[in-house]
Amino acid sequence: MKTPDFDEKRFRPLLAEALDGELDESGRREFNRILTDSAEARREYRALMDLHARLHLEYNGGSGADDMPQTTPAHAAKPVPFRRTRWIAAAAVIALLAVLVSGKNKPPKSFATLQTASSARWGGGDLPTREGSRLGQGTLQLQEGLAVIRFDSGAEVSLEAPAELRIIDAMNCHITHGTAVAQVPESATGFRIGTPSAMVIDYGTRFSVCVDPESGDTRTQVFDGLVEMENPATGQVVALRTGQRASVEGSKTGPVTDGFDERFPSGKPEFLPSGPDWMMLEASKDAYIGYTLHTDSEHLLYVKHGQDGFHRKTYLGFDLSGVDPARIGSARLMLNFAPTGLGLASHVPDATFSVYGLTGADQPWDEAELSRGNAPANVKNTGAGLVAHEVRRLGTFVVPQGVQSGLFGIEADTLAEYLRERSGSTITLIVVRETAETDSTGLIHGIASHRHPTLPAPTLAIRLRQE
Amino acid sequence: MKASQLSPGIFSSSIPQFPSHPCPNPTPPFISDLTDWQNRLFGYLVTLLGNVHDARDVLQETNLVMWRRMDTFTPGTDFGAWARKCAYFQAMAFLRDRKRGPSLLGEELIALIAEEEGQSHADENERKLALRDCLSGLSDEHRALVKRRYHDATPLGKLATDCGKSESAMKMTLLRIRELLHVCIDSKLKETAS
Repeated sequence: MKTPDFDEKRFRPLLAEALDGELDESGRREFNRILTDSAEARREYRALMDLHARLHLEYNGGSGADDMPQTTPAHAAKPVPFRRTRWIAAAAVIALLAVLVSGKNKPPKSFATLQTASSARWGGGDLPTREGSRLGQGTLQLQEGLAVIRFDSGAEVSLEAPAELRIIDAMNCHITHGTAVAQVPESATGFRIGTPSAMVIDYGTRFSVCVDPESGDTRTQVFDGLVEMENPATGQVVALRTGQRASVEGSKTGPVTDGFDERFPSGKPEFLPSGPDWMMLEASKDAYIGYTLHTDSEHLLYVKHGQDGFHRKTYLGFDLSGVDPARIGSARLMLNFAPTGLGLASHVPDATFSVYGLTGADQPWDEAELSRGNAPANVKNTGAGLVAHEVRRLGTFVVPQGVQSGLFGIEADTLAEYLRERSGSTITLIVVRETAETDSTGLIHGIASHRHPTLPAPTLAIRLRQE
Repeated sequence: MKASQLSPGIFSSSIPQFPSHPCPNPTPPFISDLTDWQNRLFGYLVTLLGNVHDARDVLQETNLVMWRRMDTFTPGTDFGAWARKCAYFQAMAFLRDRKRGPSLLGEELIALIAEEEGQSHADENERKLALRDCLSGLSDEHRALVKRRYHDATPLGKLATDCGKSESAMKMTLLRIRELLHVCIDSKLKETAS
């Protein structure tokens, strides 16, 4: 038998601590030394860390329990409190580090105040969301409403939902997506808002920054004063004055334009396709598979990623015969959600749904006969499992926790492309919930079937190109 | 501040930026590649960063970056290598950006581990199924512990008390279970490969 080239007796307790606790300074140093010296130790580390990640995914879909600090209160079952306790635990270290690094005596732990949060609904950030709360480093996720954050530098940022803001310090924040309007007094000149695609630096002004949730593109417009917008990808900096706007799109800086632009992605227009440009195609058949009982619905298609085999997946059939591929411009799948009355919303976090298209020749299925056993591409007894080479993922959408009704769906080039490839035949789309319930008896989501007496059927809206 | 040796051009400000060259190239199946790779990238980032919490944040950033930079991926080339490279740079950016305590691993060690991380040959689905098989092969007691740890997020102190162990003994038990799982998964994957 081969003996390892590193001191296992020393290494394993350190690894155990790294996985389930927190290594102190000397432990970390020794751990690093062993790993640096031994490829075998690194292999071991990689294998167990990867497994650790997979266990998180397996049990929580990646969104649940976090590292397990000993200080976690026993009743806490959501990730947010963990983060917070971690922060507190780390605060001493941060403070010490800040002293060493910056030489400041008492680095502030908070940099801003949550001034107003009118009718705000919050997502899973890690900062307090009560009005008047002091805010340190961390993230605010605003799902609905408006929140005003007043930085200690004097800068005031109104966050418009849906948006995510990370507070870095009194002079810096980062907007991952959404819209913010900043009012920056002289005291805060140099205030910076980072985005995934740009850095906006203020020189005493009022301006808005708008970050597209999908592309990360940034649009900045100045209502009063002067800001600079830097494109980190190219290093290009543009100066924007009162009444001017510019954007960074696809890592390119657009021209500086006079006048304002009303297209703010946060507006989330309820866009309903209509008119002669649009072809509306209702599902010709639909069904769901999985665990079925007397609770079965004729009118709703169930979707659930449960535990212990209680899963549901929805299958949709559309007839594309007579659709000219050359005329398919863009496409949208629209699904009307409605409450099933089954399961607990508390046990399902914000839920990501994926829409898959069956690849290869469309396989016939009958809506009355479809089952776990005969459904195309289905991997039995999995919440979201499909045979990878038989499907293509066309897009995803998120239904926030607790939301059971409303119009959801995808609009993606991948969908249009898929329809173009398959026009003239029938197609099968599969809707699964990637997000697993965090505890049993979680909510079952319902999508109106084409049999639903009042709600519209699952519908493909195809924007037709001019002939 | 500009460009360090390790990751050229990463930082000139406090937000993670993307270096101008290192993400080589996707196609229309880009999105399915991206989604297929989520679990693997997550594992990769947990390995580099040493914890799940940071890995989740960096994975989000990485996805955004990959979205924005998808034009730099050449269809037909190794998506995984490209994605890992993107993730690596985001991880380094994250570590430099953050003002919290030191990361589990030092920068050079992270670079070394990132470099060694080979292509995962096993199919993602098989890996998942193997994990499930191996979980069901654990003793009831061990499986319950794993569930309490990962699903219920029971604090370690409570786990230890309930089992009548010290916290460090509890950590060693959890390590031992993971080692068992790892060996089991490995042998299952080898079985299916042969």
